[in-house]
Amino acid sequence: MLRIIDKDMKKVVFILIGIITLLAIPATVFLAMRTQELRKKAAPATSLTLSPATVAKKVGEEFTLEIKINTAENQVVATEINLTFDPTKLEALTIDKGAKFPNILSSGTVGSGTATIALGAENTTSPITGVGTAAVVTFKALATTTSPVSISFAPETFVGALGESTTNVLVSSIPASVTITSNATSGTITPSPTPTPTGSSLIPTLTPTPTGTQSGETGASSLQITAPTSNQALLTDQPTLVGKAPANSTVTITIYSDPITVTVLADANGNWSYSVPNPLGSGPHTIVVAALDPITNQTNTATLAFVISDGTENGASGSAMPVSGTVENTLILFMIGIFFIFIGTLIPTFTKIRL
Amino acid sequence: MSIYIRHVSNRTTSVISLLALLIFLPLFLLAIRETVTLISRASGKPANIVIDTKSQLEPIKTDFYHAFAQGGEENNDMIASIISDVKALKPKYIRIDHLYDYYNVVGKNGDSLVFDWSRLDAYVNSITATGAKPVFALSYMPSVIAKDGVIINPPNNWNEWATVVQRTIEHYSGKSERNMTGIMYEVWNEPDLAQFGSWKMGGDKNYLTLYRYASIGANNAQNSNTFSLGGPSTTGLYKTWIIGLVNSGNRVNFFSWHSYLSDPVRFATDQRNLVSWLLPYPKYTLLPKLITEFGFTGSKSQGYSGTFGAAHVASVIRQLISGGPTYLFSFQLKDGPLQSDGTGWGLITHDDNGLKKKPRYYVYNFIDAMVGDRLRLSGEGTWVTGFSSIRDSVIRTLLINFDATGNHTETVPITFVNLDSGNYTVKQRFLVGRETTTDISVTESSFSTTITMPAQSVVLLEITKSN
Repeated sequence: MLRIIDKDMKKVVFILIGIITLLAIPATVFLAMRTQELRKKAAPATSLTLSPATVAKKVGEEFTLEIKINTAENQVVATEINLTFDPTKLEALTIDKGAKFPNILSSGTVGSGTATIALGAENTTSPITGVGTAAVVTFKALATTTSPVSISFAPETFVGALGESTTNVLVSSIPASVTITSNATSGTITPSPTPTPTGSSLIPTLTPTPTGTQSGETGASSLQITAPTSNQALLTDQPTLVGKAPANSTVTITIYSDPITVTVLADANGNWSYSVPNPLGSGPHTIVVAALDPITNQTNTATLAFVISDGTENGASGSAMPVSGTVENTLILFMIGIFFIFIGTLIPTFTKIRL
Repeated sequence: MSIYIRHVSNRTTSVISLLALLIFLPLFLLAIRETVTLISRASGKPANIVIDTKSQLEPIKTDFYHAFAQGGEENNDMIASIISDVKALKPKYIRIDHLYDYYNVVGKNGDSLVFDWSRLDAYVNSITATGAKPVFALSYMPSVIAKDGVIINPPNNWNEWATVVQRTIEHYSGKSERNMTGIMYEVWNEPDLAQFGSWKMGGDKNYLTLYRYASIGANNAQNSNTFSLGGPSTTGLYKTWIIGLVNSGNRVNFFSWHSYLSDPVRFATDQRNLVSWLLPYPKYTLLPKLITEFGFTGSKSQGYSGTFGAAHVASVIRQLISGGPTYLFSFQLKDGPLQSDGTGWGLITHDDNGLKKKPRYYVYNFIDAMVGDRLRLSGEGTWVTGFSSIRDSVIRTLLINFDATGNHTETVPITFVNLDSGNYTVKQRFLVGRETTTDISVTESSFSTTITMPAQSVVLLEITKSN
């Protein structure tokens, strides 16, 4: 009788082990993929911005735009910048390297409605990091415009960085807009209207990154995102974004990864806010805000990452992102688990516990 | 008077028509081609050069084109007789090939490889006597290790090829031997060419295998100074070869290829393409890029003897003056023998033809005058191109009228804007030609002039403020 029970118990144990193993494999694969995905999303994001963002000129005048790069956490080794614009309104005269890049990898070329240059770091041991001027473009205003015309980054624009494999680490690019008049009194850079980056001018290549830092071009004090805070895990999927900007300036807000671009006006004290009208998907998001500083005529940008939590993730630590996550670690843990399962199976088999 | 009318059959008419068609069709097509050529040439854009003297761009590099290659038209030290002339070219690197089939370097003693460097060393000594460093195109397969003894075949034992490469590097870069620094080793020469083996990116004659064992040899080299290993040294810039090398996982310190292109703009296009291909491979994007042979044609041509060749070099340098390759190797320093018809590739004629310098020889140092900060120059045309620079307040502009297919002469308007008021001396100097100097006074912040440029001419315009 006891022997029969013992045999039945063995069967039950083996069946249980089989079920657990069958459940563990897909679960492990799912977790590993998810960890990888989170890690991928944690890849730092680089942005390119044309500065100043708005220009007013009269026909025949020349003006210069700087292409600013914010590498965020990336170690950038090279970039190929491709600009597009309306050739009936603008002519690009030159495109040259800025101070941030020591090397011209392929010469700046200007064509009808295009300007292109490839730039590189000195070498891979001295990659480009931080914020600075990647390139400088000189334009000539050709004809009057009825509404501002855009100078934007073409989708081929690429930024390569160490440790990011073949990925284009550029996740946002902010265009400039130009108003051309025949008015002889014009010819100054004006603070408004601030252009609104359109979906086509943005390059949504990667899901953006929680960099954890604000990256104002000329200092955090002129343009800030005060809420949410960096890497904050939010329980609402319709957060309110709050910040500071130059008084009465137009603030362009872009929310990634499905770019949502809106403009809001800062009040006389420089306060601005925006309540996201539609639910954002759970997971990481990045906000890029841009506003023209009327004093310096520079377009400042700030970037911030946050996470929409579905209430079940990251609750214990409150951390938006895992510190790290690799398939290797997960597989090692999986193997250890399998090892213990087998040990747990073999011990009762060999010790033959009898009731 | 009588009129004789003979009726011919329809068949005869058809045959005659067919014959006429066969005779005149090629002539008709030729006429169309010539017409198209004329129309297209006529539709080219003349230059209208404008230089903004206050718009400074990046510093101009002139070292990159002081690199030269010498082919193997003789199996001896071809540089020995022109050392002083080559030295005057201020060469940074001189590239040679045929290392293992011309200089009896590799032999066998039983199953062991033995090396005799004496003849190759003499050649290398001539190179270093010019002030240059050698670039070794590791070629071709030593006959003692090659399959069937054929120098463009793979070796019988790949490890022996690795050993040959290892010993070459140890000999020249080894601290206990020649102790040379910064030497570049290029794996093979034009591997895609039938003459040099028709290597492919796969199959029995896989260049990647050839490269891999060269890489193994390089990595095994002991007690060596820093050196570079690269390739693929193909007859043109080919994406499959470049990316194949990137993905091979082997040691790659530089990329190299050859460019025999009559259109100078293609050189800049190649550069842009290469950078675009490498952008997704950040570890490789910044590696040195070498055009280890270049010219307007790979065939022998009398164009190499005259101003055509010189204007082509200048025009290519203009295209690469910003964002160009790390080194651009002109092919070649000296003609081979029996080329008194002027078709040789050399900058200098062969010993049997008096070691005469051709116009191309003079272009490199001529362009060196352009060193300084590049100025914004606009208005280049189809034939006339150029660039401008400023150094110590002297403004220099180099203009080239290069017509690859014809004999286009152009009178070029040139305007300098944003000039400070005052008196200036304007010096106009043609490559291997006349030199004139005039004094001008600038009061309206600009100065305009014209220069008549014959086809295949290069001119340097120098503006110096007098007070």
